Amino acid sequence: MKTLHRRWSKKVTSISFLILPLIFLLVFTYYPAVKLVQISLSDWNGYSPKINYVGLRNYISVFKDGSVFKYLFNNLAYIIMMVIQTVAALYFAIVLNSRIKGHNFFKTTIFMPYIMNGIAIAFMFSYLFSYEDGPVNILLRAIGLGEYAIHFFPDNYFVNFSLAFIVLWRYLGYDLVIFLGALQSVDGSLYEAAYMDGAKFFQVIRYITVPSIKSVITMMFFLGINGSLQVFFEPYVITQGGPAGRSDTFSTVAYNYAFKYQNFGKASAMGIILLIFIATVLIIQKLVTALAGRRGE
Amino acid sequence: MKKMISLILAVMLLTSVFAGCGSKTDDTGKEGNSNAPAATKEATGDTDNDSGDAEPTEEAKPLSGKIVLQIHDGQKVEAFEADAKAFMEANPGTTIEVEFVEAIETIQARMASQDLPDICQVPKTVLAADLPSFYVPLDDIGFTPDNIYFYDKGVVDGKLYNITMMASFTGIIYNKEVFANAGIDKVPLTMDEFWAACEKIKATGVVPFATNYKDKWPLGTYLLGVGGAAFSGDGNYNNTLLDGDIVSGANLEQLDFLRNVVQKGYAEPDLMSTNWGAFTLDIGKGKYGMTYLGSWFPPQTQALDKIGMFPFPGSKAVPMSDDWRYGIAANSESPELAKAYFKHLFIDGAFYETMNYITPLKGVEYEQPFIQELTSFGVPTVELVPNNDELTAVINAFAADGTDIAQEYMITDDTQGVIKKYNENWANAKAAAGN
Repeated sequence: MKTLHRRWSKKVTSISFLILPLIFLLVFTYYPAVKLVQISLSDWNGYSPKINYVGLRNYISVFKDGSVFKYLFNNLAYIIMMVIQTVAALYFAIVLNSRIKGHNFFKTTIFMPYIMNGIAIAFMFSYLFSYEDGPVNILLRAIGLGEYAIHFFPDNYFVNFSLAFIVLWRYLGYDLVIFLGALQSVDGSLYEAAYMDGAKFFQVIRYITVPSIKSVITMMFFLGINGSLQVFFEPYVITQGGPAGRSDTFSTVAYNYAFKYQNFGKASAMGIILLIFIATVLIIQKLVTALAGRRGE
Repeated sequence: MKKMISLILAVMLLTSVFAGCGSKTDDTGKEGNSNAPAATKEATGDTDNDSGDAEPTEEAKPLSGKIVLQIHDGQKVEAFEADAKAFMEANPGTTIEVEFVEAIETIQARMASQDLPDICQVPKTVLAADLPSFYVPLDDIGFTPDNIYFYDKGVVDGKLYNITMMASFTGIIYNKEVFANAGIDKVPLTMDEFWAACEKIKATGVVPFATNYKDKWPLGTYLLGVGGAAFSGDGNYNNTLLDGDIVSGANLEQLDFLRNVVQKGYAEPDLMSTNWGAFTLDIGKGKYGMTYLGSWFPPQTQALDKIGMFPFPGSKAVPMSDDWRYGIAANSESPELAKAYFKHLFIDGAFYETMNYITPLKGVEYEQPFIQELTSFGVPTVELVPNNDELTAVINAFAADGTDIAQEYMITDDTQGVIKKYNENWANAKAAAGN
């Protein structure tokens, strides 16, 4: 009788804890996703009370436009910088995990950009990267390297790297904190044993640290790819997708379709296509790591 | 004891979930209540409960109720609140709140849920046919085609649904001191004189012509803005684009002008380093010589004694255009009060005075010296005919605006390719919007 009651009360406890997050998930994530699919099959203009279904026309239009590939190519710059960001965060995490002097100070300063207001960051980097008045170029001119003054927002692909650098600067701290947490969970006795056997620093990293937190590293890479494919804020606020669309990403284009040109149908279709794309990337990544893991045995 | 505390805390946490659900069905417009919808007060202001509570009883004759006025200029919130306060004191029992909303997309999202502020801006992309569902007819306030410009744009089925918040004359805005220092004694009225003037200004180390390339939206003055009317002299120019190519005629002239400004080195040294906020003050400080914008701009420079305007050299007309339009929301719960305050703002003129705008009312003498200067050159003013519904639908299908075309044309190496691309897209958009 007592065990029955205990089992039942356990169930009630777990259900009651789960019910609230589930409700939020259903209302704020799944319901909008279903609505998104519904709108993508229509030509809704964003305010009319009627919805008029048009089948797959929006999807065909997106693929015919070529916008899928044209703007995803801009996202590639963000993916490249994301790889650098994750590796750098891992490096800093390993270094700052030890008790070197000032490790708390460094952790704080690296994490600080993550909590800064986005608009303030946008304003700051607009000024910092300015060709005329920006501190970087003023410094270069002051030491006589004026001819090497950098155009941070040129009208070629490089503008995406400048924006991706701002994203790196913002989110490095977040990656760092996650990796630090993961590193704390590694058993210290493994390191002791390794050092006693005469292992050097890089061997320890390669054979003990990285394999121990492999799942966290893969998760951070996946989140990074997810974020890079969805990046909206920096190109929209700092360069308005310019010059002439060179820094437009998939999300800024979808946003403009919806809110500037009243074409919520096409924007929603782009959202669903992006969702499928990210899901594909995730599946590929899982397959690759599973295969690699199997080969490692 | 600990269990009790954690239980109480958990219950408090749960109730905070419902705090954000201040729904409008509770708010019958009676009290200046504190659980007003979330985004009401972005302004620095404590006027949420400033005027106290309105009376719960609605009388037939005197005004009463509560309305919200939405404005788009955060700097003017206090000025509007002062005006609202005076109105509220003259009409006890009324409550007028001022809400600052800068991004018009927020308003648009609220349209879908019928939650518009009582007096608010009308998004530019709303089709005329949809206006009656969201706004209240304004005919009984006293507007007629004879007393306000741009009356027709707000008319659907014979009723007026919105009016423009100002009239704007577009011309070259210049810094008189910069011109004097460069030795220019009279303003250029032909393109040759214009390039000569640019050369003189450049010699003094000042940027002759500002394009504001990076911020993109100032380039909207040109294509699909007022530039077509100025260059062609036809107030209906934009609507005629439905019959032909978008990059041709007056539009192509404007693009070539912008491109030449850049190629000849008279624009900002680095197009992607321009900064609108800095520019508004810098032109008054003499760092820029000229730019091409509407008359809503000179007050923003805060250097009105140095700023003048003249018509675009060689243009056939000075375009007079409308701007954002204001209407009264259909979901307003105090329409009589809204209409009375609307009249106070837009016929008695409180709005134009507070914002320092040029009134769209007809028959008014313009006091601003730069307007008098602009109209002194004998170039006729032409009233801009607003984009009709077909044009709006085609632009939506075109999925680009004049600023996109201008930005690309100004920096491309292949002008013919750009022209061809946009004309093709325009033809496709016309076909797509036709069905």
